[in-house]
Amino acid sequence: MAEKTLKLPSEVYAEIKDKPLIGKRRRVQLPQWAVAWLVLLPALVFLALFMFYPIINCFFMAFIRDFQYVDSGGTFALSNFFRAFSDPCLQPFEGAIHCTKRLGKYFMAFGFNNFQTVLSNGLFLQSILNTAILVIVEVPLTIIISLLIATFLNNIKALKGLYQTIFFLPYVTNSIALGLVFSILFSNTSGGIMNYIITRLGGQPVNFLGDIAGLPYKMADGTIVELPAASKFNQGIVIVVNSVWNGLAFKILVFMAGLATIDKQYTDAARIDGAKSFTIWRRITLPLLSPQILYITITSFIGAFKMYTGVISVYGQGAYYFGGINKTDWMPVVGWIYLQMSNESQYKGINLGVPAAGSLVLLAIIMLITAVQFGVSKKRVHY
Amino acid sequence: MEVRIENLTKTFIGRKGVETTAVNHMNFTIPDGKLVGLLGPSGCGKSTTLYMIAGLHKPTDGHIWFGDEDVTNLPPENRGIGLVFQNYALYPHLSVRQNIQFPLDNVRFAGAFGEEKNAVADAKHDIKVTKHDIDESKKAVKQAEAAIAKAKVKKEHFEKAEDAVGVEECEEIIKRSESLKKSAVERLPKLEAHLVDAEKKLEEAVQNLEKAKVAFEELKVKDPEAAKEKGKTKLSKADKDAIAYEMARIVDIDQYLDRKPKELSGGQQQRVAIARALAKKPKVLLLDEPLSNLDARLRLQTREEIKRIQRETGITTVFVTHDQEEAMSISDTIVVMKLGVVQQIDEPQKVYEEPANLFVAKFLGSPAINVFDGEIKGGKLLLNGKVFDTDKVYGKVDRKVKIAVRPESFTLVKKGGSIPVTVKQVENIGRDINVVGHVEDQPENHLKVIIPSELREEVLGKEKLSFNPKRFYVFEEEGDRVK
Ligand SMILES: Nc1ncnc2c1ncn2[C@@H]1O[C@H](COP(=O)(O)OP(=O)(O)O)[C@@H](O)[C@H]1O
Ligand SMILES: [Mg+2]
Repeated sequence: MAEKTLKLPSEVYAEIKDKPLIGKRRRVQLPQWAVAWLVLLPALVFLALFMFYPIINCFFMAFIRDFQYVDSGGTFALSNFFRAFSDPCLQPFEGAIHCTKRLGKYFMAFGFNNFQTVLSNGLFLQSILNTAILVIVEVPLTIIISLLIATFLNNIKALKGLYQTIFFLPYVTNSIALGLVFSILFSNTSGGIMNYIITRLGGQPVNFLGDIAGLPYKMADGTIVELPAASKFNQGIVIVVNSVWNGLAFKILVFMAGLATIDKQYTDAARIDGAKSFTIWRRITLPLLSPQILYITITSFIGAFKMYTGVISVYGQGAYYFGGINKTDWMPVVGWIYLQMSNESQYKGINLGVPAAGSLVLLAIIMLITAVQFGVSKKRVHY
Repeated sequence: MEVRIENLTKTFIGRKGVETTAVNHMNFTIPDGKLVGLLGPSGCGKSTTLYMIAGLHKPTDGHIWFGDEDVTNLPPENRGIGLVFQNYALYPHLSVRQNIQFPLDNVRFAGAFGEEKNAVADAKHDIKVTKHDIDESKKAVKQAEAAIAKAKVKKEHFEKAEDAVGVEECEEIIKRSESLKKSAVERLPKLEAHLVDAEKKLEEAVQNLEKAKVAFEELKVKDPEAAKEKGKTKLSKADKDAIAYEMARIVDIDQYLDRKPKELSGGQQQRVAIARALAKKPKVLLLDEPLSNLDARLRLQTREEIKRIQRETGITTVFVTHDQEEAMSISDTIVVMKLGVVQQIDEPQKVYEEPANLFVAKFLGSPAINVFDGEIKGGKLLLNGKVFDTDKVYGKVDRKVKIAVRPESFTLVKKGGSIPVTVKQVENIGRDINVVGHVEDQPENHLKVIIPSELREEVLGKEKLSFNPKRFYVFEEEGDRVK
């Protein structure tokens, strides 16, 4: 093999000495901000089309009576809004101010009545309560579990890659499919491993999935017992387990990335200072991980408030089945909103103002809680 | 406490299985209360040595002793040491005060009757160990007996076959097993006696514990304050505040107690790290290049401060540095390292005056020692063919050697000195004059001579000068000192 001989730097300099350098380019230089906008443009177009426009529409819908796409308003909500002024056929909201004086023969067809409808709807209030319970149970649970798993994954050496892959699998799996797996695990038919274990340990089968009472359940020894009535608690367990598992992968990933940025010298120093592993974790690792914990807490709360697939996928009985005889046992807020937009609602998908108002209420709740979290975190997060 | 390093070795296995021996069979002892400077160029294994003493790295081989205790396998949290990291490693989310108090938060006392409890635990442990030993000895007796029986059968067999070697082997086995059995049998009564003793001790310890419990209950009634003090398992906030303030005062950062580390300058952070290491009164203090990030003035000041604190507290200290002047000024003993191997262990002055090899000679002293080529011929040391040393007879073997003279060890002579020098430049540096040049006929061996400025007139404008060495060293070509 020929040996590679290095040139002397002086040779290189001698070679390039007389080469002409590229001339100053007299091109029009866009200012930085213009370049930035240009790069952002495609994203902005899509955002405008699929985010901002629907959000603005939603605002208008929520404040107007009998919003209709197909009618004279076309698809732009604002035109519907103007229709409120100009359409003599449009009925005013109950109790709305009669504006005949100022607007001639026209009525005020916009106001807060949609919100009134939403907030006085028992099912809506129940769905808020349902969501709140799921959020309060699920979010702390999933954060604690993912933190623990991330810590252990960070500490083990052997088979680390394998474990990481296992815990990452839910992330690349479709969440409906994942929910179906859980609905089978918890079912009262074949494949219902949970009930198999419970009955094998001497317990009675549990109606996890909100089925009607009295269904036959075949015990391991062949005898048939009747399935007890569904309780909300038992169904809640399945929903929580499913959504915790569903969200684990991403959180573990974020925490592992955070842990990797913590200099090993801090834990070394803490050991020298006589701290035991748990003390090191509590007093050094956790505070240094607090930016990631804040991020995960906020996104988890938001995600959990928007919970929907996590519930229906567990039952696997369609988009509007949320358990129980009334199909509403664990109806979440988003579920309620979808229901109102569907043909199954009392409005038959015609009055979109009501679900729009529901979404705005949900938005308000999420914003409020996020603001509170940011406020609390000011003192406790160390960047 | 005395720290003893015995045959200490650390080999890192890097990616692709490449091995780096960072520390190679190191031996040295730090006497109680002394300060040892670990000196060597960057990458020679100083930090690795320190981390092994701290317990953060597990040695590949060798032992570390703190006094009579072998701490080689003790985790760092149980070693009672203080360590100042090269880049401080202050906890960024804690204030200076909390940083200094962190080691104190981890201090746990045994509580109201800790001594008595410990005595019970010790006695129980003793019993367990003794019982185990007894079992082992009994097992050993049985094993020996079985081995003897087996060997006897075999021996008969061999005797029939008239196999002398086999018979001899069997007899050997029988003899060995007999002696094993004997020692085990002799051990047994001693162990059993010890067990009886230990059981008695346990009984006593349990009684003492009961008494202590009763006494403590009484004390609770009589003097609740004293009982509370006696029963405490942690340092109180007031105690910790007091210590933190005192430590901060010692290193002169008491006005910054409520700041976060990132609000301090490098030097201040360094001092916080020292305060944190001192807070729990460590038995051994380890400092990893603690002055490397300070400016020149602060470095001098902190160096003296460390020396003072070390003297006052009497803590056995290891001070790692790559700066020979720093090591010289602060250490009681210097350990010079190169590529993981100890080159010399001596008092600073001795390392400077009696370097063990060329590496040590070159590493210590600024400006560096001058080295030029000499030769030994017929037992005489020659420079450029002329006799250099008239006093001493060198070994019989003719060979090339290196002659080394410190810059300040030259005396200027009018003529006929043993070192003829070609002058390139004369630098005036105030009190002294630097003569820069080379030994005649050895242009590749640069030379720097420091002479007093009174001799200015005599060297200015001259192209050739002649010197005699006040003191010189002779080294083999590969670096060992020629004695
Ligand atoms: N964790 C490690 N893995 C592999 N090699 C290491 C590791 N730590 C140190 N080394 C190597 O060991 C040698 C000594 O390092 P170190 O003790 O840090 O030197 P010093 O503190 O004297 O500058 C160096 O060659 C370094 O590259
Ligand atoms: Mg180092």
